Amino acid sequence: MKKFKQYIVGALLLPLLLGSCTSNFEEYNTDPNRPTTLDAAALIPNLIDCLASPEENPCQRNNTFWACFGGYVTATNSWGRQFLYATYNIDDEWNKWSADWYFNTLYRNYFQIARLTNETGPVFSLAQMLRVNIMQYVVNMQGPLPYSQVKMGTFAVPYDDEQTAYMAMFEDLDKAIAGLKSAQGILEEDNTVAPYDRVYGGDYSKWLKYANTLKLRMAIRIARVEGQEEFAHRKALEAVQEGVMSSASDTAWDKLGAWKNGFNTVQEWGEMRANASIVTFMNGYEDPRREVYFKTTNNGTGAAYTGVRSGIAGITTADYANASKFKVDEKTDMLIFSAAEAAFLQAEAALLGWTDVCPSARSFYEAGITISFAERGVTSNVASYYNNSTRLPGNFTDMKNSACNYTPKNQVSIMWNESASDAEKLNRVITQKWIANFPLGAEAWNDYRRTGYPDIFPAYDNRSTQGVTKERGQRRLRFSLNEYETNRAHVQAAASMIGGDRENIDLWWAKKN
Amino acid sequence: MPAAFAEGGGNSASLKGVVKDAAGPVVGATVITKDGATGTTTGIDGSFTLNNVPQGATIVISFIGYQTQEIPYAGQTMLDVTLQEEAATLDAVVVTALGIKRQEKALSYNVQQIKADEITNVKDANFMNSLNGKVAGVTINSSAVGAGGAAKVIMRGVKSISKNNNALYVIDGIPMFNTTTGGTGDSNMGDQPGSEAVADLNPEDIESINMLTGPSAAALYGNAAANGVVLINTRKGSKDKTSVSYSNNTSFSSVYMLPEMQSTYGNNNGAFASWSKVKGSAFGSYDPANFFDTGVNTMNAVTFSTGTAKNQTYVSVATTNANGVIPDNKYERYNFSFRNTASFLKDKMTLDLGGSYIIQKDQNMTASGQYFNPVPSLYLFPRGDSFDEIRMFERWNATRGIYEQFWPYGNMAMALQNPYWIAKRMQRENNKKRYMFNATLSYKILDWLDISARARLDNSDTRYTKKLYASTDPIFAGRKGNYDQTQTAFRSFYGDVMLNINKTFDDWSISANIGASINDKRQEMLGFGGDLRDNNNHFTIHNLNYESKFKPKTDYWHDQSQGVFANVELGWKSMLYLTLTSRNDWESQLAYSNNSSFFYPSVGLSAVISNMVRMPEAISFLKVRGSYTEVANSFDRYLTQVFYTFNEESRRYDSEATFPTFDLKPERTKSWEVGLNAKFWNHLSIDATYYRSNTFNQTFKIDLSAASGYTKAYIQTGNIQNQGVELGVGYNNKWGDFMWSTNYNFTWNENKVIEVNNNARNPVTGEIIEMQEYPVASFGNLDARAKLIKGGTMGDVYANHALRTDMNGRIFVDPDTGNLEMVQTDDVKLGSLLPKYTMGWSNNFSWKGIDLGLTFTARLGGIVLGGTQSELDRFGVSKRTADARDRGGVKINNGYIDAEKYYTTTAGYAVYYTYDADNVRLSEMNISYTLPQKWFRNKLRMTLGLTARNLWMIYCKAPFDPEMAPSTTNALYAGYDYFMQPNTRTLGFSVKLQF
Repeated sequence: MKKFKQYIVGALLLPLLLGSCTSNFEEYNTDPNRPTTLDAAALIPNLIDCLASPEENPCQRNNTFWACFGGYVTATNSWGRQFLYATYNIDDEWNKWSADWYFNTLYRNYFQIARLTNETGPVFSLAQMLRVNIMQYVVNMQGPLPYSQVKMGTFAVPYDDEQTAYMAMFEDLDKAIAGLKSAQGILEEDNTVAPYDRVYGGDYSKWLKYANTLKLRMAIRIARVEGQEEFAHRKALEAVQEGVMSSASDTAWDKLGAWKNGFNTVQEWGEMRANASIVTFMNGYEDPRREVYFKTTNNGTGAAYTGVRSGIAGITTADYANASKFKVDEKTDMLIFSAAEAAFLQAEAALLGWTDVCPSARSFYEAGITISFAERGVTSNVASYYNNSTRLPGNFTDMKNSACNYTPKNQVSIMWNESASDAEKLNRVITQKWIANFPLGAEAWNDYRRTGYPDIFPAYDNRSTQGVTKERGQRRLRFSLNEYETNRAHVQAAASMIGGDRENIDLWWAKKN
Repeated sequence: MPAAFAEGGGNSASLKGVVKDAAGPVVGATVITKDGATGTTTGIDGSFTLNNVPQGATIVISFIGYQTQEIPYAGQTMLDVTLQEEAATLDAVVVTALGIKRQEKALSYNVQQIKADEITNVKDANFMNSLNGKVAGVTINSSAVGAGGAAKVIMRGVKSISKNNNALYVIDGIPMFNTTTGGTGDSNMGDQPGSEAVADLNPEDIESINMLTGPSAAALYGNAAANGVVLINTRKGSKDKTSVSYSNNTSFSSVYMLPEMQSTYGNNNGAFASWSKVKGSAFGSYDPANFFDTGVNTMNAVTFSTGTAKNQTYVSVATTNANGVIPDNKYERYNFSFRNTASFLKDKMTLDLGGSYIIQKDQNMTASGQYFNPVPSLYLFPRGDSFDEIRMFERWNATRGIYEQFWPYGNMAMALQNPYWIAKRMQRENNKKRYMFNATLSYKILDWLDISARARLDNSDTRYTKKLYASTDPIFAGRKGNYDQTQTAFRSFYGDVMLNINKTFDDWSISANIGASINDKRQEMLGFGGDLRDNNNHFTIHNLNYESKFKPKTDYWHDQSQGVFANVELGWKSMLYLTLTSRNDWESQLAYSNNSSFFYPSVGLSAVISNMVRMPEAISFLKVRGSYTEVANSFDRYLTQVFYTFNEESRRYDSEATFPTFDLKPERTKSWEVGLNAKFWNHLSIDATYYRSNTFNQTFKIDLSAASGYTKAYIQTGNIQNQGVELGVGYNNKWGDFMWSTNYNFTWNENKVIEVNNNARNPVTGEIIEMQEYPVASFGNLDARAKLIKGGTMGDVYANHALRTDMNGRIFVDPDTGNLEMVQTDDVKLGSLLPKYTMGWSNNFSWKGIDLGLTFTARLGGIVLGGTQSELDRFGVSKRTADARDRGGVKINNGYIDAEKYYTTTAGYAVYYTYDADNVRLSEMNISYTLPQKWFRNKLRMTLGLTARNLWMIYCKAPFDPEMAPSTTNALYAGYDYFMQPNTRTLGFSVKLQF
């Protein structure tokens, strides 16, 4: 009986012994492969990903879907669907990828950088600047967006109207610029971002110029908005005084790291080719940059540069497989921000009469072309290009279907003409800026909507049910479906700010007519 | 003391003994004197001690399911009794959770038993597939990957939104973690799924299987048993007998139920799609079925069994070699098992040792989707072109010095390649070595009390390689090829100690188990993958290009769960039983949360009415039962801390896209069931159960507004209800030499989303999270989405496109172009992917050594989605596109519209590709003949058999087999066919020799 009692007691104690062994549980429930803390700078590459979007799927979405409105690229597949950006009738399922990806990729990292840096120091300033940079894609794509009230832990964020968002972005950008300024001359051993910065290798002086150029770009964008001219002028002047990009060496390239060039991947899938718009203009201008932008294709009579109209309903990869591809391979750097754009922005400032920002439109117009040639490694005589006053874009002739032929309107020659109308001068600046900015489709679409230049070819098939016309093109993207499912009240309020969530609604800074 | 006194008294004494059956000790048998003056029940080892037995008394030994024996007492001190099974009521004894036999009448929940021959008659490489249609309340879907593929086993409906819904496997009382290889199969563009741990078992080693469809076993096995349990009892050596058996099962499978396709209309010049309006091809007709091989599956098994009264040994060796219907698809398995059971220390101690070693290899397992699957390009191949050209799938490129793929069509943005190239030059192999050891030591402290300890080790190492040859499409491989090599080590240990009490006082009996267990699982993965750098097709890590798609992969997890449990069964007069269980679990996944453990109880009552009141003669047995069970579950590991994740593609750290949540609670399922078991005239049996379960506090991810900065957040909410009926009716009888036994089972399950979101709140701000519905799955090429909506089911599917119609509901045809127009609409519910009713009916006839078995299965209710049909229509290769062209178009609005216009417009939209999932089939048939033993002088028993599976699809409206599963791990990704490997019809023969 005594023995029996021992067994009972022993058996009952066993669980208690086991119970006390749970001290290892915290170790077990901690993933040895994933750190719980990190050098904040190690997250910066994730923000850089949002600029050129090198990863294959984001590249396809951000650079070839809605970005086809910029006239550089044509999506040469319809994936068996009838709802495509290119035909102005994208459906909710695909539309939601556009804005959501930027938010998600940015903020999950931005919040962590803010947490890890305590919102101080140069890495945070860089992140703060990149946040503005990335959210510029979104505000210019859809209009109102959640910006000033975004906060870690808030699931349903109210939208800012465009003016509020722009003001908040300028404010953040100014703070970031101040922070980047104080990072100048940082000791090499304190420069934690250097190994992670695949754009400038940790050179904060370059990032400072970049930030100021971004500020100039935003200022020019709102310069013609009623009541904003004075503010825009002040911001542009600040930017130029602080120092914007001025030479090819300032240009921001994504040097990719482990990524491959996304354009290369997508065109190897057969799902994109060069857009008829850019190829037609450059063919007409006999632009020497063609050979660094595009691969030639044999059109039957010899090597030629051949583009494809965007918006052909039902297009399949086989249809235009022989059209020109971008001249990129797996490891070709991808453009983020061209120094040439800084010159063209200043030229436009001169056209606005902001002589303190830019004294001469002509010299900055020519400087823009010169920088562009230099940053693309084109060695032919740039002056003979920009002094040509006869070449015009001409006509586009489709390689297989004459119904796709198109003659762009408002054709303008290259050489500066000081006595030309303001409209022609602006057309000239924007057209050359457009060629220099290849392949930044978002910015090209912004300028097209803002100025109407150049005449980027409309969709071949317009399938819009929301009043988008071929004459003016699609004016914005609808809000994400996901917002209607998770943030309904706020997105509905945002829609009413702009008069409805439709694709023919003009944004705040767009040319209205 | 009383015994010694009694012995001194001379006329009454103490009697000891052991009650056994053919397989070993019988636990809980009643040993009683006929006058009822004294009685007891047998202990865990079948032993009993009966005190104060008067001389001349008659001892009655009874146990349900066995013939009662009466033995006169004539002063013997030892009495060993071997009970004979009562054929008609064999099912009355079941092996329950503890791996020991219990009287069925005491059970308050539903247990269904399957005998070994049900799985060895018509063998499958994964024996679970042989159980389909044989048990009520269980839905078994074989995966489309073919031989050795995992099976989806769902009991009493899908319950969990984000966790595994598959049943738990328990081998000899010890839970087994069912690891799977390969991808999840729930996407059109993922890795293909593979095999699973339970498929490794040798069916010859299985003695019997019990299915516990409810959560009642959870107190003993932990919360994984909440989805129901498949209890597998393996064979032991036999006493005083040596036997050797050899069996061979060889089967041949061929594809059936291919989609209906056409080969009369070819493709227009330069086009891939077969939309020509002119009949006939220069290359004759094209039949995709010719691509498939005849699958051959050869299974050999030798078993050896021997033993003495004290020591029994069982040894088995088995081989399984299968070739699938897709060229170069293989599955191989080699099993080696042994088991030894010994008793010593005057039979007070028993030691049961078992072990097995398994080598398993598979190559190119393919379920569905467009990656690594030759079926899409095979089916869509342009009908006007020469497939013979394609058969020459690789051609010498003298410049590069390699054979290159021949496929002049491009990938059509569907990853299409030459089907032979996909089958032969995109090699994916798994090579697994697994060993399992188990030991049980039990010691009898008193005749009514023993203690046992058990341990089981289950370790496996898998080497996965993927070799993609140069000229494989750039989606998958660089110019020189692509290679992936991954090693995965899985280690699992289970241990428990248990105190078992088995005692009878007068009218009362108590049976209790009190114990503690530990379950420890670890998995470590290490691998490298990427494009090749220097040598074409030289598949080694040193030849990886570190700059191109290079992925260093590593993953580690370690889960441990510790539990204490008690299970008490009180019996009164062998007619009323009350069962109480409770368990408390400590799980490592809970670390850093506010809870360190959770507790869950159950209560059950069983009443044997036929023992309480006098029943009409016809009713031989009647029992009613009811039980209530709660099971708690922990959430996934690693949820309670913020981690930075490594992106293998960009090779750097990224922040977690899911909003971190720390205040998590264990989730909980509450269920109850009532049922009855009855037998009439000893030939007809009826088991019926009604159950209802509700699962609360499920942890799942919801979509967040992108402006939150996160894509997902965890919430804990919801209430998913399953209720249903399980009914089994059995009849067997003998007329001379002729015997018929039949079993019909019926299952009704109704799944209902009672609540998606009961005011879940943002853990930071407290704001109520907006969520009317919850998307759970989308289906590749169709616009269909499965969503949880209050009041719906977990399998509800919605679509949101339809052809534009005019005011009168007529389909709109553009007057200028003659085009149809697809427009976005509000969500339309297409139906539920879940079945309403499933049924199985099996029959066995035997006459003078000839046995005939037939199993019919049926499923009623629910829909399936035909993704393949949509693509066949889009490319003009389905039969109906040819029929429409024959007729001059598709009939709409009292006229005809061009077939190409119609089908290329509707393809991809689920309203046009939804099918009724109802189907009835003869799923299994076998006929065997046992040669008269006297031919072999009674030295040999020889059985020859013919077997067939999927012989006859009696009724099916869908264009594919609705019961094939593209994914076995994701219960919500079902009923969708996107180029699934066609199902196979299998014919085979078997030889069984027993010496």
